[in-house]
Amino acid sequence: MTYKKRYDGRDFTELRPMEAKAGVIKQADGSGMFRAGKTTALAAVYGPRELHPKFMQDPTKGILRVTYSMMPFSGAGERVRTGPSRRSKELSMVIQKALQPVVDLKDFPNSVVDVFIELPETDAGSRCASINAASIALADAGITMKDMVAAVSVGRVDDKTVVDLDYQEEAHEEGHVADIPVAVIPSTGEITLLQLDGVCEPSRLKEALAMAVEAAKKINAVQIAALKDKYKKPSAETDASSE
Amino acid sequence: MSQLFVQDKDVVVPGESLAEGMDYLPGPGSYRKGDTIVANRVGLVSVAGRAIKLIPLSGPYMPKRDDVIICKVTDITLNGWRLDTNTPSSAMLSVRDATNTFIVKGSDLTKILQIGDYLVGGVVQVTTQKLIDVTLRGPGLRKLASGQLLKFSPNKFPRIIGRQGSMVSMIKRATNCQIVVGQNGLIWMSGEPAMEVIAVEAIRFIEDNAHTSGVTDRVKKLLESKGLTVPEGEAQDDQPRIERFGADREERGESREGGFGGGERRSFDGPREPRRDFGNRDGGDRRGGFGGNREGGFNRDGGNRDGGERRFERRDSGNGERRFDGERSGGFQGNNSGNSNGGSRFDRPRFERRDNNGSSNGAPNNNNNGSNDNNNAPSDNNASNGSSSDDSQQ
Amino acid sequence: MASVDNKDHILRAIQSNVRYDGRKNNEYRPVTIEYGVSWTAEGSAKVSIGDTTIIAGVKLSAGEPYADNPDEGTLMIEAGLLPLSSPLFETGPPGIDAVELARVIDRGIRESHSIDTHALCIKKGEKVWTVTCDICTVNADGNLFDAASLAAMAALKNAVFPEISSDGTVEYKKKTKKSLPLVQCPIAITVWKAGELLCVDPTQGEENVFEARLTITTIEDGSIVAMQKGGEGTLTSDDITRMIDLALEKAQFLRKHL
Repeated sequence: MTYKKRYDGRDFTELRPMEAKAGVIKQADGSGMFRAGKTTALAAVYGPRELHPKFMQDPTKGILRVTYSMMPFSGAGERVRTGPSRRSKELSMVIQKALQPVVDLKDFPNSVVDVFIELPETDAGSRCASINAASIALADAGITMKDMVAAVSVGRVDDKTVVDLDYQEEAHEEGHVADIPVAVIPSTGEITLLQLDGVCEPSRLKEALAMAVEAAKKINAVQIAALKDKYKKPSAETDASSE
Repeated sequence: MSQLFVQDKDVVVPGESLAEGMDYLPGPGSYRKGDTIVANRVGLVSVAGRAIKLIPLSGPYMPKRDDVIICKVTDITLNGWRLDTNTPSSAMLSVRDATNTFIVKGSDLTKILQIGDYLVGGVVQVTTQKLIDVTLRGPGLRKLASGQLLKFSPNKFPRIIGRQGSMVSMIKRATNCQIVVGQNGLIWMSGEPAMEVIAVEAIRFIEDNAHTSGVTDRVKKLLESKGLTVPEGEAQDDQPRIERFGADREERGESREGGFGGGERRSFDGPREPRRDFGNRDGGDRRGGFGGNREGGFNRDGGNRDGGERRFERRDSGNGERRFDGERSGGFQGNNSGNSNGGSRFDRPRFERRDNNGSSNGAPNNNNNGSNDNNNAPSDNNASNGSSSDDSQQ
Repeated sequence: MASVDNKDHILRAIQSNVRYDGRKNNEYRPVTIEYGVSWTAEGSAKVSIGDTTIIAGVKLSAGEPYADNPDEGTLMIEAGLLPLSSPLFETGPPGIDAVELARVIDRGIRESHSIDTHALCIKKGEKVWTVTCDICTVNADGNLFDAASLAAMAALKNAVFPEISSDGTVEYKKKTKKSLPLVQCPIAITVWKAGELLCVDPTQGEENVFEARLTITTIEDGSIVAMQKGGEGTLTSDDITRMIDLALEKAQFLRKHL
């Protein structure tokens, strides 16, 4: 079986259209929105703040805590019952592990930096969009981070290696599919999240990872633009008296 | 071959390369990765010679000694009050730091401060676990009356205060509101409701435009557009600050105006290096500290301190204006006994902090701003002057 | 730490009819509605009142009717005060505030028969539509009741039926053009009391200052279809009359935005 053309007409290495914004939730210390195709993730960061219960506190540094959740109407089929599921607990954990290597919380002993992620709509790639939104939110909150983290699902549909699978591709039935979410530190190419679901030859995996690292740079550019956009100077600004 | 990739006042994000080559040094907000200097937070680039640092545009308040912060009383303990400082850290105000009068052990502390009261206090010390010790001893430090409390991003503090307190002063005078700005990201204000609305708008404007220039003028225009007049001339500096506490305080005289005389103060300096204590700000002898004719530190041209470039960064104590009284003659009045004074402004008679004595910073010029934090002038040394702070500023 | 805490100071502002953001006591913050913000929902809307932002989404499913109403579909309203939206909300199952919010919005729609449940019947006794509206707070800055009510109505208005195959499976990917059978538009308005003064649309910081609140849901013809008193203070009957008048006026105002 060959996969000649992608369902939505993209090239095999092409990402879905992306959109990102920083500072979208005013109550939060930092926030971000990231959309890839029809998957939208909202992330809000609260902290560093006091951590309860006390037994979870780490006297040497702050902890990063991620809570991932889908809004009940964000699944393609039936309504998703509210409350944490096994899937959402696992995703919360892998997302936290994807972000942990870049953040530095040693200045906040006994505190927590909470990252809350909610998705109003999904079309595959939700954990990747979540990581992308969460990175923006952490940077927006002024957390010390050596770099951001960018994530994308790469994989295989039939005989092709592809980047940024959507739901239709994940559900492709005429041949093998592998869905491989990868999170990358853009400046070094280090990988902080790696999962695989499906069937994939090891040789193809190597190719897919390389594509992920490339794609991460493009995603990172969108994240950076979202943050800088927040501080764009008004065009009518006069420069006369500098502060 | 060293190369700078960014310019002053550029907005950069974590992971962004700022410069390459060993000629540049990573200041706060950046780190070295191999040959490159990289940003580790969202911030505004500030290049000073070879050092590149970032002025943060967001982020939590990092408590430090001598900061003036606004707190809320959340509990009363055996020894004092527990405070909420708008940070994850725990803060305490102990009884002995709450008032100048003697409090009998076991007396009813609610007579002084009750749960839910707000106060403006000074940070005495911050432990490694970020526990904060607060004091109410100092001019302007006090329990706050009923007022409006606003949260703002702590990094915007220098902008809201302005050069020598000019920004917040302008807003205060135009709206006739009392305003106290806490370094921990809280503002207390009280005035006529309609005037408060305008003051809040001005403050939010500063917050939103902190990373741009010409803000003072634009705030002035904003106030004027609401029909307010912005009085000219320099304002009285009434921002609360911490004072030195010593057994001989009485000898020192009451007025503590002026804080530090100092030339241009950079208004938006962002995260600070360890503070150089200027020693006795509030009067008192500056023996050693600044003696006679010293180079560096302040310009000593005939004592006129206004203007004059600082060679090294002066730490923002957050207390608002620092002014030099232009009329004084240079140097500090008083003798150079070589003993360094200064030390924490919260010197307590009970223990002395040691430092690299004497040389008061007799140390090379770059230490002129006074001694390091742990300098401690034995109180009696500082006594003598009792004069107002301005005196010793020169 | 709440950002605005000194009650008497806030009250003073309210008493002089000049609140911290310059509004009068009976003024709403700017209201915006965006429809169709979730492609997976059968209907959705994002509503902002000032900085308070809520997303509501409608999902339809087909199932068996209740035995005592064999030809009527069912309606469910759920609400979540998401920790994403405020430092005051915690993770976990809906607390009492979220439950109250959901039930008050529900009451306004259900008891007024604003959705024609008979029109939700697919096959009497066998299959009916269940309409579920989930209300999710995105940024909570006060006055959640009114914003939630508006968001729910906007999402219901935006909703269309999905196709249903002959064997009764819902084809979510295929949408019809048929809207939900909405026969009227109940809007909840919450009026807050501080002494003699009545106020609408408080920010989060202002809410703590009031002794009591009364949420009044009304429909286009002026009838009251739901009420809920909250807070630990008391209301006089005069208060209530004045609150109802204010609520009617403001419901019409909000309804215009839909």
